[in-house]
Amino acid sequence: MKHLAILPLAALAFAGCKEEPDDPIIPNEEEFISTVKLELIEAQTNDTLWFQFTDLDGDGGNDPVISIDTLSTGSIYQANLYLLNETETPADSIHNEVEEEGLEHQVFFQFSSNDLSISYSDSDTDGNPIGLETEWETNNETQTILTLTLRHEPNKDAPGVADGDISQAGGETDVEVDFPIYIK
Amino acid sequence: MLFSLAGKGQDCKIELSGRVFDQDTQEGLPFASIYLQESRQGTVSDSLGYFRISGICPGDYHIVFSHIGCESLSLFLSLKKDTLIQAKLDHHQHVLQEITLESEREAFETQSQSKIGKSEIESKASQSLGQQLERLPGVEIIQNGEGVAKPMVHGLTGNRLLILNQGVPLVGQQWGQDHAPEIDPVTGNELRVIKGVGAVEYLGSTLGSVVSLEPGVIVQEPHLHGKARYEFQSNGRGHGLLLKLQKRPKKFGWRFTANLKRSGDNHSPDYFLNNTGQALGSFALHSVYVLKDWSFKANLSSFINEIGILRGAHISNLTDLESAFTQETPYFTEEDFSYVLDAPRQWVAHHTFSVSGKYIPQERHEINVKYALQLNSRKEFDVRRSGRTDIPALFLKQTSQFIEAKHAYYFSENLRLSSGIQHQYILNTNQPETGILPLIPDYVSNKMGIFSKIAYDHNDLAVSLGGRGDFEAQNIASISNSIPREIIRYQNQFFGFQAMAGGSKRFGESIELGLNFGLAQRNPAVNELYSQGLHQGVSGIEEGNPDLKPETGQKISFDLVYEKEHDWSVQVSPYHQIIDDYIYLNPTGETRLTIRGAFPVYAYEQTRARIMGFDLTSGFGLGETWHGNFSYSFLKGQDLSENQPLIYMPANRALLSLNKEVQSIFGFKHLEIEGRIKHVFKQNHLNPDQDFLPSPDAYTLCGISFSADRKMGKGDLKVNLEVSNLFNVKYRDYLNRLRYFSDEIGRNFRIGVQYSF
Repeated sequence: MKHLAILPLAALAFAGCKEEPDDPIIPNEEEFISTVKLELIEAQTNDTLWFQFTDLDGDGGNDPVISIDTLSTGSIYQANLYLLNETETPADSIHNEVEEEGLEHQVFFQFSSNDLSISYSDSDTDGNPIGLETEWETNNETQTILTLTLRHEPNKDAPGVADGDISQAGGETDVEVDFPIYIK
Repeated sequence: MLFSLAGKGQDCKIELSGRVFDQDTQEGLPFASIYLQESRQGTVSDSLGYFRISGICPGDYHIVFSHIGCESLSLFLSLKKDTLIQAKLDHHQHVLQEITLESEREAFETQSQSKIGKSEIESKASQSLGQQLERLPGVEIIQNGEGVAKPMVHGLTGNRLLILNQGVPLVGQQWGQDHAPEIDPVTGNELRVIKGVGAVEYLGSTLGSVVSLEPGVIVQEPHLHGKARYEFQSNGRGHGLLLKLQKRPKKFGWRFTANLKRSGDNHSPDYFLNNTGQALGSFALHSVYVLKDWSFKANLSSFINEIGILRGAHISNLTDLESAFTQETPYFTEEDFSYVLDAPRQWVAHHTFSVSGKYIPQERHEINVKYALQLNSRKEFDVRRSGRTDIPALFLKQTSQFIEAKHAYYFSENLRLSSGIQHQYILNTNQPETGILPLIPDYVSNKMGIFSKIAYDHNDLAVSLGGRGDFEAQNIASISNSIPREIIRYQNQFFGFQAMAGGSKRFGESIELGLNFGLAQRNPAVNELYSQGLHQGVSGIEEGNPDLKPETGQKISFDLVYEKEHDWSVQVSPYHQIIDDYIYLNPTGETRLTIRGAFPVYAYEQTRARIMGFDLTSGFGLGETWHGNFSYSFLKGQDLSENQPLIYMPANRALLSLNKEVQSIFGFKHLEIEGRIKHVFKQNHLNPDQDFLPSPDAYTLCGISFSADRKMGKGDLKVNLEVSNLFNVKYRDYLNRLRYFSDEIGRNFRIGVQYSF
């Protein structure tokens, strides 16, 4: 019966077990994008308009908060896109990562209106657009929905992609937000 | 089953005699060959299975029993006197079974079982557990590509399917469609599926079926034996290497298994499936030691597996998913073959250490104790920004321990009472370097259970009755998904019970009936209670439900076997299962708006479910050397509360195989050629609003295989060749998530060469 010694030995192994898990270490979500900010600077007046989409608690939880501005007819705007992680203090500037990896990223702007046109003003090292800097031109009064999409690893050589056509781009979506656009 | 009785004898006048039985029918097995390797003496059993070899000199002999269609076994015996041997060959399953002190007794089973033997497992050494089991009726696989295949039995998988590895419940990350069991089937000698109503003696046995990978017996044999096998597979250009060594001089025996595999991109009929390679290394050491009334076993196994997931299936939000549907070839498809494993990929390591002791203090008692430690580690890599692709997006570590004590008391040879007590401890922790909020929280689970089962088995009748009770305490520490992040703790306690009753009876020579009833509860698992966030495996936001109750299932199964000698047999096994509070991941149809766009929301919900169906198998002989097998599985799952189909239920399927065996030709023996046709019907039992896409069309696949072996030096050379998806059919399967993105793999040639000594 001495071989029953296996039992207390095994019991000993269990003695080292935890009753409950330790406090988990809260991960540093450095990749997380909480905020999309579009800054539109009117070419002549230098008036600045802001479009913002904020979702601090990420997937799930509370709904995101969206704020918008109104564009003027017959104007030209220089637009800058900022991607931030505002859960950190100071906020992380994710758009810098996107710019550094310009070859692997592209921002697309989709809308259905002839009274707005958006063209790329920046480019990656291959001469293809990134889309962090754009030029917006307005015509007549209108309203539309603008879908702003950041794609990771799109195929920038696919037809139309360099001109801002997302349909053949592929890749994963890192950002996709909708803004209502009013031109008055 | 082997035992010997010794008699009198003199120099070179020893007589070896006995009888070879068919394990299933208990009848003598005619034309089995019995061969003494050292003296080159041999004979063939007569029409009743009897044999006799006389004029044997005293000495040590390797005695080989073989029969066409069975695996030959080499038994080592020291012959000093006239000896009588009874051998039971498992003729139908192509497996030879022996029983010695350390093996489990097999009788007293009333439920229908199917199994895959050693040679069949080894001939497909590079395949996963799911792919190995898929050949059995009633067993399907639920997949996330070729490399991630989870077995599903009678419509139940994951947390509901108990997998035993050498008698120890496998504890890993069984949740999620994208987590395959962390186990290499080739480290065992037999795969068994109990498709019944649940086996009360196992902790974690819940609502039905049990898959068991069994070590088999290390046969007593003073010399080193082993085998080496190389395999090449054309699709994915995979190479596989299997090495097995074993030795058992007397009281101590061991077996070492090493299995390595490396493959690259698979190919569908039209294009490469980029990033679908695999790298696998698995090692196992089994040992046994017999000391008086005790036998001890110690097992050590390591399983390390790295799997690439189709690049084009790594999508983000609903827009990406819908755009992937419109693609003829998946995004990121390249023209060239590659062995590279990039993100998205999984890296999984699972180590198991177990010791067990069996003690037979006196004839009527049998005591078993077992301890097991399992260490599991899982990393999943996604495509990420700024070099973070090399940082896992999910990283879980798990430690689990298992202890069990069992006692069996034999009132008589035919009546057995077995009871036992078990305890399982699990610690599951997320590693914080992911930089992503974990999908499932950290937890500790302690589960204790007791069972008792009484079984009677005499002549034509087997009856069993059993019950078990379980207690589980879960301690959870999760991170809130609100800002600021906080730690939230939960504690749960669950009591559960299980009961089963069954019987089987043989009527005359050819009919056997079995009836089993089981009632069982399953606690909600931690992932079902507390998942939160984006789950890449389902491309959606997964929401746990802390209010889930245990589910209660009742299953009734019926088996009818008709057997007309070796000419024709048929088995029909209908079953009916009702699960109250059935927990499932419901695609709610809602979408959640995030900064990355809209994602579909999947929520854990409960309903009353019914799964019913039947498995039909038939074997038939055509002339002397042709043999055929037909099987058909029918299953229907219904959500009774919502009165709609259950999702992710397997489509009905039929399988026909024909094989021809030739005793010997050109120095080769056991030539076997087999043709197979598999037809999988379309899953029509599904409403259009229950999935993004309609279920894929029905498909038919054909395959052929050929195997032969011959003596070479002191050992045996075995060659096999297999072609699957012979006609390079383009198809998609309802239970593979990659059906949204790509076709299944096309034609594949597999060539294996094995030398055993």
